[in-house]
Amino acid sequence: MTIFKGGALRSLLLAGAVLLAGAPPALGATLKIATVSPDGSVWMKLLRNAARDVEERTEGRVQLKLYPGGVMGDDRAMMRKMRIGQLQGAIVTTGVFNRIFPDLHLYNLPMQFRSLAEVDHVRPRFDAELMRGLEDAGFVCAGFAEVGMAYAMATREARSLADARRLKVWTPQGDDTAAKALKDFGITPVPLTIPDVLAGLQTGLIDTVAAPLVGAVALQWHGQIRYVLDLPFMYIYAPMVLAKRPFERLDPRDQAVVRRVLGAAVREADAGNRRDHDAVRQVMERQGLTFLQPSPAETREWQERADAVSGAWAASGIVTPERHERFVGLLAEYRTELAR
Amino acid sequence: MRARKPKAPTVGRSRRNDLPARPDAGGTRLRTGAGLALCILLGGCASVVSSVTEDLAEDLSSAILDSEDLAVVRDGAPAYLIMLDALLRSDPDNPALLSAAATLNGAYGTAFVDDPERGRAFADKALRLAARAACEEIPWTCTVRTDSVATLEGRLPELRREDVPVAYAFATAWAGWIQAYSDDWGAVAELGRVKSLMARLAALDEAYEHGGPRMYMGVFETLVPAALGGRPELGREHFERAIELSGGRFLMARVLLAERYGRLVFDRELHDRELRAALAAEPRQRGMTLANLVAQQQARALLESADDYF
Repeated sequence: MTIFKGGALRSLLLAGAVLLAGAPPALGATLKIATVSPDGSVWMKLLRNAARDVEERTEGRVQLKLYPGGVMGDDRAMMRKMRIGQLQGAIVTTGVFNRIFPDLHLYNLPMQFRSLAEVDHVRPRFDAELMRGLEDAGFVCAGFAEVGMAYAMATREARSLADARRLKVWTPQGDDTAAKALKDFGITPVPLTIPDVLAGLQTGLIDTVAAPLVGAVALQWHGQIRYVLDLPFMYIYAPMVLAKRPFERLDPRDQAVVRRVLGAAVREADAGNRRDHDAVRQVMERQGLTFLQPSPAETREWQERADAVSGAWAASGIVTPERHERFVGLLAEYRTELAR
Repeated sequence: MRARKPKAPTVGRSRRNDLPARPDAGGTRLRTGAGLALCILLGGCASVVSSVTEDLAEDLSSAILDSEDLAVVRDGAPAYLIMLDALLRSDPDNPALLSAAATLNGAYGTAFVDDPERGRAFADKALRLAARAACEEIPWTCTVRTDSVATLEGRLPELRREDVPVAYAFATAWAGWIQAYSDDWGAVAELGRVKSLMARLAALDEAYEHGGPRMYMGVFETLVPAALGGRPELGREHFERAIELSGGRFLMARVLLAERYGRLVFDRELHDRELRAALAAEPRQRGMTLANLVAQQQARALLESADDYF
């Protein structure tokens, strides 16, 4: 094959250059994306790779500038900065969407997901709908990354709902949904910022945190905790969102690249977190924490209360009743399949 | 009163000259301090084999300590690792020797081993040796990795100033091990324990190893952002105190201040200023030359990647 050597290749390249020169100049754009994950974390490694990928595939037209370690503030601050255009994207927890798109809380409804297997049944069938909802609310969503099931972890032994009502349970300051969930269970929440939790456990200001196991170990809370109530209480996940307006200013082909590359990064984080969850549980057991098994009657009491709370949330419109119905329908479908 | 075993022979005069093996648990790998660990090693050796080779060991110690050639140390150190293994065979419970071997293995693995799996093997060995040394000297540390945090914290007030060398070698080997296994939740779960131990060491002798305990505390406080409970400003104070304790001559503390704190809070001005100061400083300082050269190498790399980061 000598045809591409010498002159032929040169003229092809030239033709390409002429074509490119004739195209309208593509506008370069920098998307600033923030997260509280520290640099060096799995999330940041994935995002840095994604940033390189996006830049390469868009031939430098789109650059992702990453702000790790909460340097842009907490979830609320990041949302504010997205609104005023200082940021174009962020990985946040669902709490900040309370007023923007509360249906994201469908997955957070207490004890509606009874296992991760149920999550795996529902999410492939429902994520897209929630992502469309976010898009209507002004956010392009690259995907949801699982954080894990939140468990009640305490310095004191508590199995029943009555036991739990005697506990001092931490709730993230400003997260009205989490506080409301606890109150609906008859539990009085103690709101604290995340940095105050460890000291709160040490001083006895709080004696219980409800959090994903992974978070408890990553932030070293596990050292202060003795018991884990072995009842998956709430599914926690983090959407990665981009502000819609700056995103739509990108060339449509570049938009597709950004969606694809970031989507793949989120999926990888999602799968990685699942593996972590299993590993962390074993670590906690090895470290001497006791996983408390509630009796069938105690479990039933928790579940009935949780179902009542979820139903009330749908009835009062905190989550859209129609979506809630579809969500519950998918769960019922899974349970029926399982029973067969 | 706890039972105390007889003190081991004190390590030689260069004992205070090493560097933390892996100060950045959970972050980028840091090439640091192998050469200085050699000094400890030679200091340790000097006390063990003093009757025959003391002069030679001390001369070697000084030569390596002030070596300006990292490659020579990289190529030469494995011979000393083997020599230490041999010495440990005839004196397997000598805490000073165990600590020295731990520090050298940890530092060498961090500074010169690129393959993560081999790196973990060095970290394993370092922790095994350091834990044995600590267990010999301070019996309650034998079970410290599995004891509850409350038990550990209850014991810490018993630590005394004379325990610092062995306990510090243990704490640094432990931190290094966690870093080598930072993908493993079992390792991450032990981080709080090392931090408690290091905090006690900083209270007992903050100036040890040119402010090493303070420098480590700086790293621990800057591992996670403030939003997640990190305390970057406290970390900065630790780093600045570590710099002060060495009169600014120990450059690693400056480089870590830039890398850990400057990058965490996105303070580019501080980041670049501290790194330039580290590069402008005279690295040839008695007992610190080699470590300072490693720190300057690190400083250059951080400055080069700053545009990408900030």
